Amino acid sequence: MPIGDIEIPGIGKEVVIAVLAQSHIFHAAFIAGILLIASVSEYMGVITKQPKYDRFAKNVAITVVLIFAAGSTIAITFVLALITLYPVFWSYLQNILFFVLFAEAFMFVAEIILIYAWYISWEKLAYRKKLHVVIGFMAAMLVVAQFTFINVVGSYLLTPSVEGEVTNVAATYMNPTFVPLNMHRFVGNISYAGFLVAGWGALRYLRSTREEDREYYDWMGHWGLIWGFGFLLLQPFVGYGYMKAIREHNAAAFDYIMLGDKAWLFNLLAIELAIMSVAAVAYCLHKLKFAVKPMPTLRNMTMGSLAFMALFAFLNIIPSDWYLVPQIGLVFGERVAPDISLAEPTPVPLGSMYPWKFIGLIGMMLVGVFALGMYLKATADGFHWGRASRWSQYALIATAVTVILTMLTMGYTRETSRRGGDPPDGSDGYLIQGCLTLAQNVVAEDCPDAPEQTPERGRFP
Amino acid sequence: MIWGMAEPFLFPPVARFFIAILLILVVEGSAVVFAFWLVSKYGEEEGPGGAEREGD
Repeated sequence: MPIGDIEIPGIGKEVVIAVLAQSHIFHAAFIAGILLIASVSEYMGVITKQPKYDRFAKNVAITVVLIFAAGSTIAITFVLALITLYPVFWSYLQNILFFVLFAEAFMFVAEIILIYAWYISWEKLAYRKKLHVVIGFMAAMLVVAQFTFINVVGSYLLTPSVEGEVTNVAATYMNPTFVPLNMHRFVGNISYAGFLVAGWGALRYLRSTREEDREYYDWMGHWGLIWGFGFLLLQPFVGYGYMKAIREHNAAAFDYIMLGDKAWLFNLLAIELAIMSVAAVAYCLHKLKFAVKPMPTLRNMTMGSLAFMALFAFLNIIPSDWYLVPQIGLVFGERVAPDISLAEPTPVPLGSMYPWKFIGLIGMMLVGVFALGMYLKATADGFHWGRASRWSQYALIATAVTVILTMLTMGYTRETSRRGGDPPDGSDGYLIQGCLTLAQNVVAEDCPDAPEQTPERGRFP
Repeated sequence: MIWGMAEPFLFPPVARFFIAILLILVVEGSAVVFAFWLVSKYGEEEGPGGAEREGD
């Protein structure tokens, strides 16, 4: 049997990898984001002497301890599946990115030591709180370092660095999309965790009957939303930078996900962004009713912001053509040419990137920053907690559900983008762009040589 | 070989896409339900409101 020719009946090996990787990311991204939020919360508790910050941080600690095991188990299963189903690919990857993967493995150990130490020393270090805060920040920064290292792998697959220099550790590490991907994920993880905190706070708020709990969970929803929405507002800017890097260094992948068969992914993303942004501003608007110091002007301006946010969000949703989702037959018109100019009129009015999508994205960011700024100003004077309406909590739950879908959409987008291009061996895409195809054939002269080539697998032709 | 025979039995790509989403829901749902179960069973003192509830 040729190495790497194992197929899973029915679902196929790609589904196995996708399910394991995506499930792992749901855990890992949450841990990466929430540890930063929780460390800051604990420090805020030290500064402000308000117990809710410490209570929140401690609850996060036990949550992270609980889900870390499941997240790591899925990660190990993922690597095992990768070795079994894509052995040639894994062998190459291990050769090219040995130090990165080596460091990654040890970071798992260091991470769990720090996270457990942070959790278990909560009472013991109660009188040395600043030392305890430092442990929390160390755990958070180590997770940041860990996902930085795995981003090297993710970005390298999409945009391998200078051809023929696979043994150059620095060149492979600093591949063209590494920095933008890292920024995008750093911001995205915090936003993801923030919205999940908001959604969880909302769920608990709706189920709480004790006044004390209602106040706490009302605050938790607000606290999560500030992080989630605040960092979401950076994403169009950072994400644009990432897309620009992909366009410059892997045009085939860019065309495939922006103009080709998978362009619907960005229409879906625009819908998800719209739901999160509008729900977040609507929540802020509602919350301003309960500001300790009444702020009618601020509230009116937030109402205007909500209208503008809805307008800009809608502008982003408008597709460029009616060739919507070809995979399921949602095609009602011709597709725009892939080499269309950014400013050229599209079949759907207001569908072109320039100027409409730029206006939409920049508008969303500016309005969001404006609305959040006003909300933070009201936060400085405080709110009457525990009085939020059910609908405001539903808005928070909507952001949490949508952010999960967004993570799913974006994870799928990055991985499916390597189906762009036309591998010479006729396979459906690349595992390492331009180098190793989905059928695990090496197809370029400058790619690394396999340690020992098998008759069926190896350099093509 | 049985693995070589598997390829003709693959579901169509769109079906596999939705199966993947379903499987992610199953894996993640199980993990979340397990975590909730643990918290509800053992997390009373450590969980939300635990510390403040002592002495109620």
